[in-house]
This record gives sequence, C-alpha cells and structure tokens, in this order.
Amino acid sequence: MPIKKIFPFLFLVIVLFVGFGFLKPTVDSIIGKLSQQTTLQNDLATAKTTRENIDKISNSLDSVLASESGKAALAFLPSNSNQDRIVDIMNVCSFQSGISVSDFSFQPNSKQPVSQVINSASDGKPVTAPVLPAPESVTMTIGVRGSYESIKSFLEKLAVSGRFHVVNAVSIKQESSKGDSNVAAAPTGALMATVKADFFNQPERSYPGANLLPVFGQGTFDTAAIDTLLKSESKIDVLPDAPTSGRGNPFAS
Amino acid sequence: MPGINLSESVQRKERGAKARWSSFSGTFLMTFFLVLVLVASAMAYWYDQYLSTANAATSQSIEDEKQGISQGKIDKVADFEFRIENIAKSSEKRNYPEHILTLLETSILPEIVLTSFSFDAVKNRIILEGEAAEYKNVVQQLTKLKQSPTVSDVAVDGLKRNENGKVTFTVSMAVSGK
Repeated sequence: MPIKKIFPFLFLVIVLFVGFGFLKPTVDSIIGKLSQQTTLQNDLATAKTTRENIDKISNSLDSVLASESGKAALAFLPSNSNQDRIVDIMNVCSFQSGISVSDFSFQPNSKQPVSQVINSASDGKPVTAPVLPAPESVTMTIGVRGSYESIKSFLEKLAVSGRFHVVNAVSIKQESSKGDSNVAAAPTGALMATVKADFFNQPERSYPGANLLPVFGQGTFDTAAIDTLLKSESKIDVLPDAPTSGRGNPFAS
Repeated sequence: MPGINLSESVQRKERGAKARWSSFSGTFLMTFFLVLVLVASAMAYWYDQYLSTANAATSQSIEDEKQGISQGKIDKVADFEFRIENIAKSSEKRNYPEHILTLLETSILPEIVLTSFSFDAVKNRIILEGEAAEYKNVVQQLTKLKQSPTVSDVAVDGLKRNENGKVTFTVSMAVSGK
C-alpha cells in the first residue's frame, strides 16, 4: 500500500491520540484548577478580612458580653447545664407563686454530636463554615402542690425565667385525701401538678473552619435576636390577669 | 507531424499538475493541523502548570494570613455567634402551656368540673378528665370545645356514670396554636 494512502489514516490516529490522550485530560485539569482558583481567591479574601476584623470583632464581643444583652444571652443559653441555677429558678418561681414543691429530678439527655465540617478538602482542611450546633439539654421534672391560680402563676413565671427551656408535659389533677377502708377518698381542694421541661445549654467547643462564618466579614454581631428575646420576655405578664370571660378555675365547681 | 494530438498532451499535463497540487495542499493542511494540535497541547500543559503554581501560591497566602489569627479568638466569636443563632431559633421551639389553661378558663362550662388536665407537647395533645351532672352537659362541653379555634380533633375517650351519680368523661384534643 502506498504511503500516500495510509497518510490520512495515520494523521487521524495521531490527532485522536493527542486529543484524547493528552489535550482533553489537560483541559479537564485546567477547568478544575480554575474552579479551585476561584474558591481559593474567596478563601484568601475571607482570611484577609478575618485577620483585619478579628481584633475589632473580639473587642465587639467583649463589649457585648459586658452589656445587659450579652449577660442575658449567656444566662438564657449557658455553656453548661447549670442545674444549680435551674433549682434556683424553680425555688424563686414556686416561692413567688405560693406553691410547694413535692419532688424534683433531673435527667441528662443524650449529647448531640459535635457540629460536622462538611466538604473537607483532600488535605483535611475545612472548606466550608461549620453548621449551627444543636444545643444540649437536661430534662427537669418537678412535682408541685397548690391552688389552680398558683400553679398557673408558676407556669407563667417559669416562661419568663430567662433560661431557654421547652415544657414537654404538664399534668394537673385534683388532690384526694387518703381515705381509709370505710371512707372514700375525697378532693382536698388542692391540685397536684407535674411539669416536665427540657433546659438547654450550648457547650463551648472548637469550630474548625469557623473563620469562614459571615460574622467575620461583617466585623460585628447582630444582637437583634437577643433584643427581641429581652422584649418578648418582658412582654409576658408575670401575674395572671383575671379572665374576662368564662369561669376562671375549671377545677372548681 | 501526422498522427499526434497536441491538445490531448496539454490536457494530460494540466491534470498531472492539478493532482500534484491537490496532494501537496492536502499534506500541507494535515501537517498544519497536526502542528496546531501539538501547539495547543503544549500551551494547555503550560497553562495547567501555571495554574498549579498559582493555586499553591494562593494556598500559601491563605496559610500566611491564618498565621496571624488566633484559633481561640475565632472559636470564642463563633461560639457567641452560634449562641445568638440558637437564641433566635428558640422562639420556634418554645411553648406556653399556661396559655392553654387560659383557653380552658374561657372554654369550660360552669356545669363541668375538671379532675385532671394533661398536656403533652411531643404529641401536641391535651387530655381532660372531668365530671358533670348530666350527659347533656358533656355534649354541650364538647360542642363548645369544637368551636374553639385553638384546639382541633376533639374526641371522647371515655364516658360513664360513677358511684356518686355523676357523669365522668375523658376528652382528648390536639392543640392548633401554642
């Protein structure tokens, strides 16, 4: 076969070999590196902003923590469960409401997993900011005895106690006298209540990749949530208003 | 000279010249295209290497920037930022069972006496136990509760007359609003 005839075929093989064997992988690599370059440029800008703002935002943090808002935030969601503080809150609420506490218990809940860093780079360095960690909690169960009004007042005072909690269950029932074998148990007029609530806390921990959080770019904290909290806590009436309709205590005849 | 066609000879020469030119231009184009592909490959390789170096330099710059930042300070700031975010989300989780008691005050009829109230936030249900003189009082009570926009799915779980002659009942319902 003359070389003239196989030359176009040979040419095609060489072009395909160079194209698919070398040029395409190189182009793919370039596309990947261009994408990586954009990410790195953003990270560099973030790192520069963080370095520039770190002192400013640290000072901002110190001033916020020294303010009433900061103290309220740390009291509302403390670093540890502070069970002594919960007991103190219960003591104050029960005393002010005029109820007597019959029993009290705590049960720690299973700890939430530490916030996971997503999209770690091949070198193990985080490339995204950490996600919001779920707070941990301890379940408190308290048994109290008192009138309907005092139990309701207790719940209202608990709601504005300044500590992040969620009431899981409330049960109220009429207290009955312990009748002997001949006399049936009769209501004493008092009520027994059991309140079960989760009290939350957010432990301090290290946050890999936290420098990517937007707060470092802003250079200051947005404390609007704390201000809203303080306002809403002060809005709730501590003492119950007399009902304008209906019958008041539904446990009384 | 007789027997010789001159015009045919000229035409043959022209066809030969065209064929040579065609062959030459084809070879030239193929070679040119091959060189073009090789040059493009070389340039792509060079640009790829350039990007590798540039990215490595940027990574190093990021590390240099981070050297001047204390991780302790970052953690402290992040901790407070997350605390604020969790506080902002807390209002979604919180509930106020005392508001349900206020609802009951306005919804329980005077003919009814409650003996027990329980609220389960996880199941989002209220269970009421009470007493009434007559069955019709219980029916009226159920009607009143069903009219309330704050509760739904009102159901009678039990109804009987006790030894004192009073009608005792157990009613459960879902909470529509906190």
